[in-house]
Amino acid sequence: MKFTAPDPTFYPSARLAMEGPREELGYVVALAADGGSASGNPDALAVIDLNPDSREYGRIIHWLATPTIGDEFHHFGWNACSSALCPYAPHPHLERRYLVIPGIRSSRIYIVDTKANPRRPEIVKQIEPEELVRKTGYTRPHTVHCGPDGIYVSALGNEKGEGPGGILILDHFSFEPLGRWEMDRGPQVFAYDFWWHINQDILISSEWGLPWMLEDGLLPEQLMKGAYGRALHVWDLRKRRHLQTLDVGEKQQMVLEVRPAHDPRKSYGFTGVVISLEDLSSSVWLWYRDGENWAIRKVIEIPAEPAKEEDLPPLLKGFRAVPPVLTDLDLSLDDRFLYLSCWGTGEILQYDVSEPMHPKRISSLRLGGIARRNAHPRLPQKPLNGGCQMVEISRDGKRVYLTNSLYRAWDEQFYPEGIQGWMALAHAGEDGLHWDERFLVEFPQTHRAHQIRLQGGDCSTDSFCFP
Amino acid sequence: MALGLGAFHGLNPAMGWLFAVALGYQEGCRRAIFQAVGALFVGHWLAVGAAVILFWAVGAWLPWHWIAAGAAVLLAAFGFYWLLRARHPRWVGMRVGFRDLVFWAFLMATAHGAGLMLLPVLGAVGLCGQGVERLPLGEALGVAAVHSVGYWVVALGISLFVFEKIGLSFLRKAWWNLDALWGTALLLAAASLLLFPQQAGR
Repeated sequence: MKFTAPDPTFYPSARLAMEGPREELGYVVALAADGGSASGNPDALAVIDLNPDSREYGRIIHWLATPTIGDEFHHFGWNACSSALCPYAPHPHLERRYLVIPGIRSSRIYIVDTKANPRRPEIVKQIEPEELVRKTGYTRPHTVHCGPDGIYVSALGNEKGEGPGGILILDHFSFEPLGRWEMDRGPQVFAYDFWWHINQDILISSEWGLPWMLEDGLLPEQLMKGAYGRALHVWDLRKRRHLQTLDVGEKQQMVLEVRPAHDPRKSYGFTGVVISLEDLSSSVWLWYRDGENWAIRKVIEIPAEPAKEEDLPPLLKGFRAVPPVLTDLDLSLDDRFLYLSCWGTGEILQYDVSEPMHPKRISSLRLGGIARRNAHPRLPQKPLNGGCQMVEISRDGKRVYLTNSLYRAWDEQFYPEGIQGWMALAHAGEDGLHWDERFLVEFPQTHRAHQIRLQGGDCSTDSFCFP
Repeated sequence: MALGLGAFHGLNPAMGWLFAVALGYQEGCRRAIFQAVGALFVGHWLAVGAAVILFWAVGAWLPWHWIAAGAAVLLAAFGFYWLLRARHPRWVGMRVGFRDLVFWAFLMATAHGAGLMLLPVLGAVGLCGQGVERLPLGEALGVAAVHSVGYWVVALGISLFVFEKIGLSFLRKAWWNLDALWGTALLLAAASLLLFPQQAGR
């Protein structure tokens, strides 16, 4: 622990974080392609070399396998981040050191230490599912955010695979589960992602579905009924009470990632809706403060693309179209560029959102995709499957990293031949996006790549209390 | 001495100046800083004053060496806590009014043992009046007030300096781990009470 200055990766403001050094390592969770039960393969954390001057640039340099099987790693996060500088509970001498990695299927949580050797992290603790459910009542942990007063983790459901899902808290120091976060959840039942307007004491959570609606694959009859999530929830972060539901309409299904503006003075953010039952389009919605209350409106619509029936998986044959399936989005630290990844069409879209009500499309790239199978410039002859999915932006906003697996049970429905895992990098310049021709990480057949975390923080980990 | 300790308390970001800076940025004006530091001053003074009154009252019942020993034990306990197992409050947010800030400063000062730290200055003897003249309560509270003025000056000075002149990058470069320093100061206060109970603060 340093005594004279905070952890150098903590930044009071997003602006200062953008001036920080370039990331040299990436951590990517890799889930067993068969769930582990058949092969006995455990999930893993892959360490990727991101230093362009290194001989191992764009390669997996370490593979940390877990001692258990069937966890299904998905999202994960840091134990501490820039929110440790928040003035009401300052803890600047915490360290960004541990990765908190939940298994979304097993409900086990791993704590991985990256300090001793950042290139070869080690598991130092595991929270067993029984303990998690006993202390919090929740299972299927998902998003991890480092709050100023503890580690917040969303969870999809309860022990029986039913609702409600919600948020639980882990102790910042011991990682003990402390309990459920909500005092009054109001009408909220579905959970998925969450984040906050930290200086306004507002938390925003989103809706995917309950575990039984997800774990055996997307259920078409439930989808057609509009049974999946379709709203955001606004909470009082301090009193832990539900304030308002922002409904995006009965034809909209699955509201996933939430990306509030990083500047703590701004009162808006973006979320993605996966699919419209009317025309299979995806859409981006803006939530914003409107007087005393909050409001939401659609600001971007991405249409489905016509396709030949023989190019489509059984689930989509009848529609003769590829839905974009917007599954992730990420906002650069200067709140200027929003990146949207469309897992169905394989497209990554870059929008200028300087005027949040009126986003302007700047550029796009394609990799993989259900019908197109776009190749990467490093291997132009090799069609890729899966599509741009998890997206993570470097702190300086110049590099956009992508992986291609969504969720194991759903991967097979959209890409029935099974996803071949990859990770790619696009550079974002004044002229839009272009692929880094040296950077295409191919994952082993046995594993698929999901969320990416960059050493020292990225654009979806840190919260700033200063503008 | 009381003024100096007040300045030391003002120096600690966890005692409030950091909060004031954040509110200044959030509101985008210097006035927010003055308001915040004013509220923090009141909260800090109440906390220190409460500790003084408590010990003054107990002093009427107990012999001074008990008080000195009790205070020393408490100080040492707080000291070890801040050295070994620092935690943070979980209940507060960023949208705060005057009352919230007063309460926050009161709790932070109390939780950090800020009032206790003042006891060696006041002198357990002076408070408890065995053998020597007992310090009147008004005067004891006056010492607390002087202390809080020291706190106010330093907290306001740092807040304004960071807000107006040097900016946020200061927070990244120079932020001493005051938990450790604070714990050490508490232990020193405990030791001075135990070693020199008669002379303390004289």
